[in-house]
Amino acid sequence: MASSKVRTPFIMLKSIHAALGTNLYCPGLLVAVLAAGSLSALTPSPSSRLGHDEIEGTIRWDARSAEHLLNRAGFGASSEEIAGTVEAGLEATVKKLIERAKEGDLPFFAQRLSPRDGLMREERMEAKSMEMDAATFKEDNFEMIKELRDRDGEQLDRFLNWWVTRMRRGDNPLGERMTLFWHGWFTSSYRDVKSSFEMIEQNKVFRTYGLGKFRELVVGIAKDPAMLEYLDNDSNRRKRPNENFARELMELFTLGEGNYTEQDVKEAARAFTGWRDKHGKFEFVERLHDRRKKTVLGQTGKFGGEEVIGILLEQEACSRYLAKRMIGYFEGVEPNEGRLEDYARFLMATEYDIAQVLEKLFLDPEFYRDEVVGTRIAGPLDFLVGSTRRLMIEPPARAIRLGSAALGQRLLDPPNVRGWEGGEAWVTTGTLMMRSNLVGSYLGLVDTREELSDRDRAMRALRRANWGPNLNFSALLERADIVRDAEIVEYMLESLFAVPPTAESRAVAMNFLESVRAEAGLGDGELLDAGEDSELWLRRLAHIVLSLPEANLN
Amino acid sequence: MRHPIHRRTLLRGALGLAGLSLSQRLSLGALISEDELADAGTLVILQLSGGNDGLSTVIPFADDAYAAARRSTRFAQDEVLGLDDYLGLHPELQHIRSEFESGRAAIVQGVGYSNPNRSHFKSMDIWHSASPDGRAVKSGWVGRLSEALSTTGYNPERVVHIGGSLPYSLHSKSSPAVSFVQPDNYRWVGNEPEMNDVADQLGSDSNSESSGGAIGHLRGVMRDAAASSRRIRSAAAQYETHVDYPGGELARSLRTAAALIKSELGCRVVSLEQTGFDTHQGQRVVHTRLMSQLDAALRAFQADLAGSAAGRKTVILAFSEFGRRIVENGSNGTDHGTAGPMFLLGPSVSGGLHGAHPSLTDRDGDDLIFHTDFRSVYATVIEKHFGVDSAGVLGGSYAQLPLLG
Repeated sequence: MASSKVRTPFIMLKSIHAALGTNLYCPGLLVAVLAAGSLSALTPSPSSRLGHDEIEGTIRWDARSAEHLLNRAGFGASSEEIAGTVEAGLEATVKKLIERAKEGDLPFFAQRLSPRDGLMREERMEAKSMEMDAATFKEDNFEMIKELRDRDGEQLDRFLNWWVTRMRRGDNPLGERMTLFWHGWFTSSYRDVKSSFEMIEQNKVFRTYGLGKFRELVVGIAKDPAMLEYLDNDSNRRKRPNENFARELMELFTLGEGNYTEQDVKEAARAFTGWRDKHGKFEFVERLHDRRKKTVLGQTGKFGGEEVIGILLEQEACSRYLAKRMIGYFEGVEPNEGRLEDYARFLMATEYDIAQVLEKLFLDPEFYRDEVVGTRIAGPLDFLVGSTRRLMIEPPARAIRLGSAALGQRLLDPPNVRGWEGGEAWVTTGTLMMRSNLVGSYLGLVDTREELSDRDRAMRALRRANWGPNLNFSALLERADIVRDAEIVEYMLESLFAVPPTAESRAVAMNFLESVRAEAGLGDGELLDAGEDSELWLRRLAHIVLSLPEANLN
Repeated sequence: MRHPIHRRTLLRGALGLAGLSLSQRLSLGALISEDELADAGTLVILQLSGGNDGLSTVIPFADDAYAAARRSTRFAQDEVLGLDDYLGLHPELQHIRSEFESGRAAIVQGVGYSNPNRSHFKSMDIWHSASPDGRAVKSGWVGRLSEALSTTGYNPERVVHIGGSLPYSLHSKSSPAVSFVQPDNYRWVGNEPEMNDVADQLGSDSNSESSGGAIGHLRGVMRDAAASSRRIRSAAAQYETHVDYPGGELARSLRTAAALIKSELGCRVVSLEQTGFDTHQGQRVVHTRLMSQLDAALRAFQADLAGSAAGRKTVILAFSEFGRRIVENGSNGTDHGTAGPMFLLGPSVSGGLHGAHPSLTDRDGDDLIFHTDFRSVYATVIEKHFGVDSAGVLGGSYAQLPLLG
C-alpha cells in the first residue's frame, strides 16, 4: 500500500483516514515534507512510536485528536508537528508535555528598575545629606522618576517579547500554557503594580509551582510582592485590616462565590495582616499582624495566612471550584456533575497535584468528545500564536503581543481581577476584521505602510523590523505533489483550521483559486507554474482561509 | 457642503441596482422599519474613563471646605465659569457653559450608587451592567435596550462603538453592537471581495439559523462586520462638513459619529470613550488638558449636528465610573472616590442643575455621598428618548428625572 500511495500528500491524510477509518500513514513521505521545516521538540524518538491510527482506550488517536491536544495544552501546531505527535502516541505525548513543563526553563533575569522597587530611597537620603533645596530636589526627583519609569517599561517590553517568543517557538508548550492559565487565574496588572521586576517575579511563581501542588502555588502567590500590591494586602494591618486579598482569595482563587460568608472574609483578612511587600521581597511584620483567634469556615485558632490557605484547600468547595474552572478552561464547556465530582475527588486524593490532574484530563476520552474538539473560540494569543505556528512563520514577538493587545488580550494587563472573560466576548466585528488583517500583515500581504493607519502599533512593529515571512508554499506543495485546486485547498484548510471546514469555506477557497487561474489562463494543476505569482496566490489563499469563521475556533 | 447618504437612498438604490447579489438585496430588505427610522434619535454615550474629578469639573468655588481640601487642583472664583454664586464650571468648559446658558445642558449632580466600589473595573462594570452584581448579570444596559429595540428588524448598526475594546454596557447575546477604531480601517485588507462573498453566503442561509454555538456566533459577527463595514465606511468616507474639528482621538471619533448620525444609517446608540481621567499625580495640568479636549470636541460635534434634523434629535450623555476623593493626596492628585456629576447635552434636554451639589462636610470619610442613583438617569433616557419600558431594561424601577423634554 505504501508504495502505491507514495505521492499522496501526507497532510491530506488527516481527513482521508478520518473518513475511511483506515491507516494510510506513510513515514517515507513524512521525512520528505519535513525537510521544509525544523523538527519540533515534540517529535518522537522512533522507539516510542505507536501506530498512527491506533486507538488507545476509547480515544481515537488521530490527527484531529492530536491537534486538539496540542491546541489546548499548547498554542497549536503545524501539520508536521501533528503528524509527529500522532506517531508518538497519546500517552507518550502527554507524558512528554508534562515532563517538559515540570523540567522548567532558565528564568528571565529581571532587575529592579521601577521607582516602586525602593531605588529612590538612597537618592533621597543623599539629597537630604547634601541639604539640597526643596525645588531642586523636586525637579531632580521628577526627572529620576521619569527615567526609571522608562527603563522599567523597557524591561517589561523585553520580558513580554521573551514570553511570547516562548509561546511561539513551542519548546515547552504546556509550560507556557500553564503560565498563561495561572496568569489569568491569579491576576495582577502592571498598571497597578507598576514594577516590571515584581510582575516578572510573579510570572516566575507560575513557572515554578504551576504544575506542582496547588497549595504551594497559592502560598507562593499570597506572598508574591506583585499580588501583595495588586490586592492591597501590603496595607493589611492589624488595626485597619484590608479585606481585598482575603476576599479574592476565597471568591476567585480557591472557593468560588457562595462558599464562604462575609464573616469568613473578615476573619481570614486578619490572618494575612502584616504580610507585606518590601521592594519586591515578601516580608512578615510581626507588629502589624493580628495574633488573636480567628474563626474561618468553622475552624478556630490563632491562624496565620498559611493556615488559612490550608483550611480553604480542605474544603470540598475548593476542589470543585478548581475542577470546574480547569475543565472549563481546557474544554471550553463546563463539566457535568459526574465528572466534576470525579475530578474534585481526584484533586483531594492527590493533594491538588496539578500535573496529575492535567494528565488525567488529557487522557480522558471526554476531553476528546465532539462537543469539545474545535468548538472553543480562540483567544487573541491562541489565534495569533497558533496561526503563526500553523504557517511556520515567526513574526517579531512584539507584533504578536501588540496585535493580541489590540484584540483585547494584553499580557500583564488583564481587564480586572477576574482575568479575561474569554469565549464569545473575544470577537467583535472590528476585532474579527483586525484578526484577518494582522494575519495578512504577518503573511506580508498587507502593506503596513500604505494600507492601514500608522497608529496601529502591531503594524508599526512589523515595519520597523522590515518584516517579511520566510515562506515558500509553492516549493512545499510542489515537493509534495499537491498541485490541483482541490488538493491545494484541502492542504490549506487542513493545515490552518483546527476544525473541519464548512462547505461555504471550501467553496470560497476553490472559487478563489479558480478565478486566479482563469485570469492567468492556467489549467487546473498548473497553478504552481506561475513563479512569483503562484506564491502570492497561495499566500492570499492562506490569508483568506485564516479569515474565515472556522479559523477562530480551536 | 454635506452629502450624507441616507438609508432611504441606500434602500432605493439597492432595489434598483442589478449589481447586488440576491442575498444583499434580501438583507437590505430586512433592515429596520421606516418607523424606527422616523423617530430615530441617537443617544451618544461618552465614557470618561479613569474616574473624572467631579470637583474640578463642576466646581464649588465658594465652599470653604473645597478651598481647604484642594490646594494644587483648586480653582478660584475668578477662574471658573460661574453657574451660580456657589458653583462654576472648569475654565476650559466654555462650550458647555454656553449650552448651559441656552438651556441645552443638564448637569446632574451627586450621581452614584450605594456601597460605592473604588475599583475602576468593578465600578465600571456596575455602571455598564446597571447592577451591583456587574457582569454576573450577563449583559449590559445598552445591550438590553438594543434587544428591546430590535423588534424592528435586522440593523447591525443599531449600536455602534467607536474605539478599542467594547464597553460591557453594549454587551448582548442576541443584539450585539458593531465596533471599530477608525472607519477607514474597518475593513478587510487584501481579501475584502472574498470575505464579502463569504458573508453574503452566510447572510443568505442565516434565516435557517441552523448553525448554533461558537461557529454560529462567528458567522453572525462576520455577517454584521461585512454589512456594517460597507455602510459605515461609505458614510464616513463620503461625509463632508463645514465644521472644523480639532485634532485628537475624541474629536476624530465624534466626527465619525456625526457622519453616522447624519447619514441616517439607523444608529440608535453611538458609544465613545475619552481616557486618562485617573489623575493620581499632577492632576491640574492633565485634567485641564482633558477638559479642553472634551469641550472643543463637543463644540464642533454639536455645531455639526445642529445642521440636520437627525442631529437635532441627538442626546449626548457623559459619565465616569466614579468621582474622586474630596481631599487631595500627597502628589498633587486625587485618589478614587465616589459620587460625581453626569452631563446631558442636546436640543431636547431640559438644561440646568439637577439636584444639589453633594455636601463637602456631611461626607463619608473623605468621600462625597451620592443622592441620585445613576439608573434614574438611565431610566429617564430609556423612557423619554427611546420610548421603551425602563424597568424591563434595568431590572427594576427607578425614579425618572426631568432631564428630557
